[in-house]
Amino acid sequence: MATSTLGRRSAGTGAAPARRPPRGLPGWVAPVASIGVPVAVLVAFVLLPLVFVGVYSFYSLNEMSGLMQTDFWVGNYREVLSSDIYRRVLWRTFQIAGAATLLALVVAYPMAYALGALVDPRRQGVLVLLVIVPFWTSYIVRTFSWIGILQRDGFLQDALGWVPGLPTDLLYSRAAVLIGFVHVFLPLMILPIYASVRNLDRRLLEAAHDLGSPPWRTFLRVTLPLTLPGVVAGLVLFFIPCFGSFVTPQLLGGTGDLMMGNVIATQFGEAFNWPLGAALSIVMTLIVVVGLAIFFRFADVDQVYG
Amino acid sequence: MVDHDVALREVTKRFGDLAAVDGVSLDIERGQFLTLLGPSGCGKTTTLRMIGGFEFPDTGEIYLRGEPMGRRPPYRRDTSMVFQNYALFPHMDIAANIGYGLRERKVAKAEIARRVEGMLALVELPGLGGRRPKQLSGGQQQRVALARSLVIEPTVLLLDEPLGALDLKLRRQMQLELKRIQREVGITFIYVTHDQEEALTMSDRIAVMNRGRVEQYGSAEAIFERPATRFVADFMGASNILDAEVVDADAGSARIRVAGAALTVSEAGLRPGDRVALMVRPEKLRLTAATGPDGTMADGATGWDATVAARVYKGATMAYQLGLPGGHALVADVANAPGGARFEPDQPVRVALRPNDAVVIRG
Amino acid sequence: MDDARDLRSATSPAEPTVTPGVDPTLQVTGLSRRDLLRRGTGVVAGTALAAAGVAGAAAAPAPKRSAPAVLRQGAGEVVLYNWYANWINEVAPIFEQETGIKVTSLANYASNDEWWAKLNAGETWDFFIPTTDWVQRANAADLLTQLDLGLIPNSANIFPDYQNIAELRKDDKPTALPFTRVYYALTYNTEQFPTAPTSWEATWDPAHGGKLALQDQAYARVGIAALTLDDNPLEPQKMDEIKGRLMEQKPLVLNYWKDYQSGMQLFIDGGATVGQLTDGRTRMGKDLGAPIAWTIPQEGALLFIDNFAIPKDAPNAENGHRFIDFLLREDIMLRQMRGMRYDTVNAAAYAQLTPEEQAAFAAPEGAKLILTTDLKANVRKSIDDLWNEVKLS
Repeated sequence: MATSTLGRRSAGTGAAPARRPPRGLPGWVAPVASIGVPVAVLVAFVLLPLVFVGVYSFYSLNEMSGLMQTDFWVGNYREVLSSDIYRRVLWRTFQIAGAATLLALVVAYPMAYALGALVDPRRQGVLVLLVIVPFWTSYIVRTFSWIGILQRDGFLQDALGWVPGLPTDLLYSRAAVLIGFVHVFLPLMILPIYASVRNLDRRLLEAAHDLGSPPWRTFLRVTLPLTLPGVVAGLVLFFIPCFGSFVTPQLLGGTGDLMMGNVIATQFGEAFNWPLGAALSIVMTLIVVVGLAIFFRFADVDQVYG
Repeated sequence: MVDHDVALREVTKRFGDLAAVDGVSLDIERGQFLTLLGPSGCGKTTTLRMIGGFEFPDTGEIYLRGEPMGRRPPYRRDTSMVFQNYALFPHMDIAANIGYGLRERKVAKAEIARRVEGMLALVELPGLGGRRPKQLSGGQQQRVALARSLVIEPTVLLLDEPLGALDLKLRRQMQLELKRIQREVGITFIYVTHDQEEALTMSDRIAVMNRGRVEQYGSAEAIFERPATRFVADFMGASNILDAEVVDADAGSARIRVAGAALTVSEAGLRPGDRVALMVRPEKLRLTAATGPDGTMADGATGWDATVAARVYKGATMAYQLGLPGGHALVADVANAPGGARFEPDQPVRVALRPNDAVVIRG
Repeated sequence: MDDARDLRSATSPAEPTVTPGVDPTLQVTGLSRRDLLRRGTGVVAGTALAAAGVAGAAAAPAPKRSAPAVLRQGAGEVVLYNWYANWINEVAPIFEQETGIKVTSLANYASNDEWWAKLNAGETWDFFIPTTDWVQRANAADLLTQLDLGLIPNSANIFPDYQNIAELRKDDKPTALPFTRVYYALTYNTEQFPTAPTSWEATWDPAHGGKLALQDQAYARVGIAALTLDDNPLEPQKMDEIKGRLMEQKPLVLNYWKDYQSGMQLFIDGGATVGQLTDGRTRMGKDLGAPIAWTIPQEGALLFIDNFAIPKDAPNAENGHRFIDFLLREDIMLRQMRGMRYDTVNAAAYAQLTPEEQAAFAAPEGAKLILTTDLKANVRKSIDDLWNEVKLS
C-alpha cells in the first residue's frame, strides 16, 4: 500500500504537477483524525468529568443554606482521610470486590479454556458472541433478574429445592452480591483469558505430555503460566467495575453489604453533599490508579513471554 | 531374533475419508537411525505422532520393546519427541526446559542440575542454562529441544523435521551433529524429513512413504541404488527413467526393449512380456562419437543412437541432454577429464551402458 | 426520555423513586421544625398535623390577594418540566382548549437533582414540580418566582393546614404550592396482623425477625428511631441511643430496600410482613392483590409534599400561574387521584370522592405527621455517619 501511494505521488508530480491527489481529503486529515478523535473522546468523556469532580471536591457547603459554594477547601479530603467510617467502607468494598473477582476467575477460566482450546475454531466466533450478548442487556435488569431467582420461593428453590443442604434463600446476602457481580461482569474475565488460551501454542502442551506431564500437571506447569497475562488482565478488568459498583449490593446485598459506591451515590443523591461525594470519588479513582501502577510494576507480566 | 525397539503392524489412521497412514508395518532395530522419508502428506508425520502417542491408530498396533501401546498417552510412553518448531517453554529458562522431564520424574534437584549441565555439554551449549529460549538462535534452540528430550533417556527419540527451519549451512552441520549424538547416546532415532539428501546423509535405514504406505524400506544405499518403485526412484532424484518391455529372459539376465533399442540387463526373474521401467544414473552413461551397427559393444555394453540436444557445464562433469528415437530423452553426466571427448549440440552420439548399471524397476 | 413517572403511577407523588439505571435519589431530606408545627403540642418532634383533613376543607378561608408582581409575559405558550407525565399529558389538551395557550413539555425528570442541575446550568421553563426540601434549597439559591396568588384563585382549594408552610415561602411570599403528599408509613401484612400495629415497636419485635423490610435511608431510619425515643426526628439529640436502637433492630431485618419498587415487592412476595414503606406503594401493592395495609403509628410518621413552582426567570411566568391554577381545580386534581392515585392536599378534590375512596387515602384520625424539610448540613452529616456505622457493624 505504501509503495503504491508513493508511486502514484511521484508519477503525479513528475508528469502533471498540477494534478491533485486522487482522494478529495487533504493529507493531514487522516493522521489528525486518527489521533485527534480518540483523544477528543477521552478528554470529553473521561478527563473533563474527572476534572469537574476534582473541582467540586474542593467546594464546601454553606452552613446556613446547605448549598454548595465555590470555594477552595480541603476539608472534604480531611474528612475522608481521617474518618474511620470511610476506611472501613473501603476495606469492605475491597473484600467484596476481591472475593467476587476470585470467584469470577474460578468460573471464567474453565469457560474461557473450553472456548479457546476445546471448541472448533470456526465455532468460537458464535460462542464468543454469546458470551458478549448479555452485555447488551442493562446491568440493572440483569441484576433484578437475580432477585426472582434467589428469593425465597424463587426460581432456584423451585428448580433445586429438592437437593438436600442446598441454600435456597440466598437473596439479601453477601453470596447474592458475589453471584450478581460474577454474572454481570463475567465477560470481562472470560474474554482476556479466552484470548490468551487461543494464543497458546498447542505444541507446548504436546511437549509437556511428551516429557511426562499428565494433563493436570501440564495445566499447572505450562497452560496456567502461559495464560497468566490473560488472567491478570481479567482480574484487573473485573475488579475495577466491582470496586466502583453500588447497584449490585443495593439490590442483592444483606444489611451489612455497604460498598463505597453506595456511600458516594448517597452523597450525590440523598445527602446533597456533592463536594464530599466528589472527594470520595477522587480518592477511589486514585486508589485504583495507584493500585494498578503498583500491581503492574510488581507483577511483571512481560516476563512470562520471555 | 533381532531386537526391535519399535514395531508397527498394519497400522492405519484415517482423517475423514483420507487414509493418512494405510496399513504400515515396520520393524526398527535398537540403536538405529531410521528416517521416514516422503513428500508432504505422505503420512510420515502421522506415523511418527502415532509412535509418540499423539494420535492413535484406527486399526493395527504399535509395539515399543515388544509391548503393545494401544491408546496409551504420550506421558506414559517411553518415547520423546523433538518438535519441528522446537516447542520450548517460553516461560522457563534453558535449564528449566531441559530439566522439565526430570522434574516430572521426581529426580532430586541437585541431580537435575548435574544432568542438565551434562546435556548442555553434549549439545555444546555450556553456560547458557540461564537464558530464555527467545534469546537463543534457531540452531541453539534446536539443540536445547534435543537435550530436553535426551535427558529423560527415552527408548526412542522421535524427530519431526527438526532441521526444517534452519539455513542450509547450519542444517548440514546439525545433520552431522545429530548423527554424532545418536552414536554417543546409542538410542533409536526415528527421523521424519522430506529431504532425500538429508535422509541419505544420516540414516541407517530409510522408509520411503507415499500416500500412507511404505514404498520401500531398506538401507540408504539400497534405496538410492536400487529403488523398488518408480516413485522411489523419482523421489530419490533419478533423472533417467524409461518405460521398457521384456523381450527375452533367462536365469540371470534379460533382453528388454526400451526407446527403440534392445538392451541386455543383469536382472533375474523377469519373464517375456513384463512391462517394467529402466533407471539409469546419468553418471553411468558413456558417450562416444562413433556410430555403428546396433548391438553389443566391446565390453558388453548396450546402447542407443542419440543426438545431443544441449549441454551444461557443471564443473567436474558435463551434463548432456540427449534426444533418443521416438521422442525419449536421457541425461548423461560425463567427467571432464583432460583430453576427454567433447560433444557439440546437434552432434549424433552413441550412448552406452553396462548391463549391471541399468536398474530394472518392476513397481 | 421515557416517562419515568410511569413506574410510580398510582403511587404517592413525593415518593423518591429509583428507576433502573438512575442513582437513587433523595427527595426526603431534612426534617426541620416548622412554625406551624412548633405552635403545637410541645412534643419534641413537632406536633400532630390534623391529618387528612377533609374536615378543614369547608372552613378554608379564601387566601388574601396580594398585588400582582411584574411578570414576564411571552407569547401564548407555557413550557412544562415535570415527573407527573401521565396526569399532565392527560389534562394539558383541556388547558389548551380552555385558554388557547400552547403547552410544550420538556422531557420528564426522574429525580429532583436533574432539574436542579439544569436550572443551575441556566436552562429554564415555566412550570415544574419540586419536593419540599428542594423548594427550600431553591429558595436559598433564589431560583423560584414568588407566586401571585391573585392569578391562582384555586389555591383556596388547598387544605388550610397546608396553606402557609414556611418552607414554601421566601420573604413571606409563596414560591411553591403543595398538591400531593406521601407518608413513610408503617406497612404490615393483614394476615399476620389482624389489627393494625399501633407502634413502630413492631419493627423491633423479635417475633418478626427476618421478616422486616425497612428503607435504606439514613434520615428515615434515624428519624423513626428518634420518634420511638421521644427525640426530634428533624434534629435528633440522642444519637448514641438511636444508634443502639438501630443496631438492636438490624439482626431482625430481612432487607434494607433502596428503591420503592423493590420495597413494595418485598411486601408482595419477598417475605416481608412488617416494616416501613410509603402509603402510595402500599396502596399499589394492595391493588395488585397483596394482603397489606398501612398505618400511622402512635409515635407519628414522616410526611413529604410535592409542590407546583415556577423558575425565577421563566419566559412565560404568567401562563405558568394559569397552569398551576388549572391543575388545582377540583375536577383536574380529581383525575390525578383516580388516575395516578397520589393523595392530595386539595379539599375541593377530596370532597368529590366517595367515602370508600376517601378511606383509601385517609390517614388515621389524629395521626401525628411530621413534615420533612431540609436538614442542616451538619445534622445531615452526623445522621449519614451514624447510618453508615450501623450498616458497617
